[in-house]
Amino acid sequence: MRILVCADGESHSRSAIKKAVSMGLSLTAEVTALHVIDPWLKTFHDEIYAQGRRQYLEYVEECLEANAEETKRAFYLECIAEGFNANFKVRRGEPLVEILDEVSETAPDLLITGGKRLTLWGRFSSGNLPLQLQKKIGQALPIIVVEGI
Amino acid sequence: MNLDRLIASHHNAGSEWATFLYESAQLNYVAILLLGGIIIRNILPIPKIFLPGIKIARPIIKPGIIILGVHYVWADVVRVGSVGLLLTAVFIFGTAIIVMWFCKRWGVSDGLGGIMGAGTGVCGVSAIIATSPVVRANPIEMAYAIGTILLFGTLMLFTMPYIGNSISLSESQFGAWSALAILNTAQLVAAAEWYGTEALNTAVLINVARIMFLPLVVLFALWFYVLRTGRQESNREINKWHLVRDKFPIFIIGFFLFVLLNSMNIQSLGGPRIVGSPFWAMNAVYTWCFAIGFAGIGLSISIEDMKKAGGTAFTIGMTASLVKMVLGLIVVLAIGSQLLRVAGS
Repeated sequence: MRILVCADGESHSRSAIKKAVSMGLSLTAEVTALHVIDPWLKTFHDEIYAQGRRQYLEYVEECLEANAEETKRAFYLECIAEGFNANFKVRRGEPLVEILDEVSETAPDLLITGGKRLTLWGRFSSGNLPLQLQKKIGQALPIIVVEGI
Repeated sequence: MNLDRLIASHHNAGSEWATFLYESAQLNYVAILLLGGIIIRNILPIPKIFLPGIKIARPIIKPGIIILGVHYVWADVVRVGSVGLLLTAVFIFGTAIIVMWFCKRWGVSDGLGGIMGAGTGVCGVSAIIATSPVVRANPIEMAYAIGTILLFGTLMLFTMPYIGNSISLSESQFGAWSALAILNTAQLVAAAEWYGTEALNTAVLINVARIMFLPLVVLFALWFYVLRTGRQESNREINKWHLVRDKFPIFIIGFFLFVLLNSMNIQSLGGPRIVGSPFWAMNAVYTWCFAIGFAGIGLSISIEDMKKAGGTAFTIGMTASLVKMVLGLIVVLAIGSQLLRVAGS
């Protein structure tokens, strides 16, 4: 069995990693954590009156890389604590597109992702990733959404 | 012939739809380009091949603003510019200081407080870009802040022209109001041009005064969050002079160069109202720059981007927008039209 878990460094994603590791242990499954570096912020560097564009781009890249490193470190620390072997993978691009590409390329048996608790308005207005994943994937793959603590 | 004149000509010919669009719905070429862009961006799939074109369309407003310098003479810059400078100084630093102070009091992180103070105070996303590396905002805070500024900038763009018309605000008053209140610069220029040429002339002049403050606001954020608290990391020492220089919007020099040339009454250059002269030709070109830019603005307004608005940034953005809208309106009503009107040459 193969489990793919989405890891973005937020608290709900840390809960998703805990869940994936514990399921990996109990089901002796292969777990892969996927972190997507989203370059969305960079698209604003050419705003009409923006100044210090290069500095901004370098700063955003530095932050995104640091976030990826921190997420990887936290993931392996969790695995070590549980005595579990797992993989960590990084992709670049729009998170929804990249996760769907990863799913189609590696065909996991289960997708685990963290998610915020949403109000009714939040469900309507938010660009919530787990909701979008559920819409796109439908019944093709079981998805577990773990809420943060 | 531009789109505006096309609609007006149909209106003159008695086409009911054009009368409705132009008079009742107040949809001139600006509104049609913006709305058309928004609809295309959010409903139709845009082929990837067009994306670089959309990306470069929006900044074309900038040469339009430089060329717009031919609309002014120094007397305008001194009269409207000095009123604008005073108003923008009060509004910019008032907003930035109040937002940063409240954020500090309410325990909002320095990164978010700094970029929201600059973003709501000066020129929206442009200010966030200039300030975020200085206050070390993290990517999640930046996403919330950019989403919020885009959301409220867009809401103000589509509501303020109608509010202005409903209370019979003069064009020059509307121009000043939009330059003080609208958070994001692209939306500000679009709203003013939508309202009328006089509104655009006043808005652009006050906006030039506004963006001149950008380096000072970034410097203030550096002092407020880093220097004052002694949190500067030794390996990240910031040269204040380099900071001001790097954040200075150089294109303003081009704008003032045209104001200077227009004020000097150089015969070979003519003027925006002297048919066939170089400045007359440039005056015709600025509308095209704006038209391309407005289409670019519409095409880059993504509902998905605005959905990123949220959290504390949303509350700060909403409060600052509403307060600036109301206070700005009171101020321009108190000042009246005369002092805000650009006479031109």
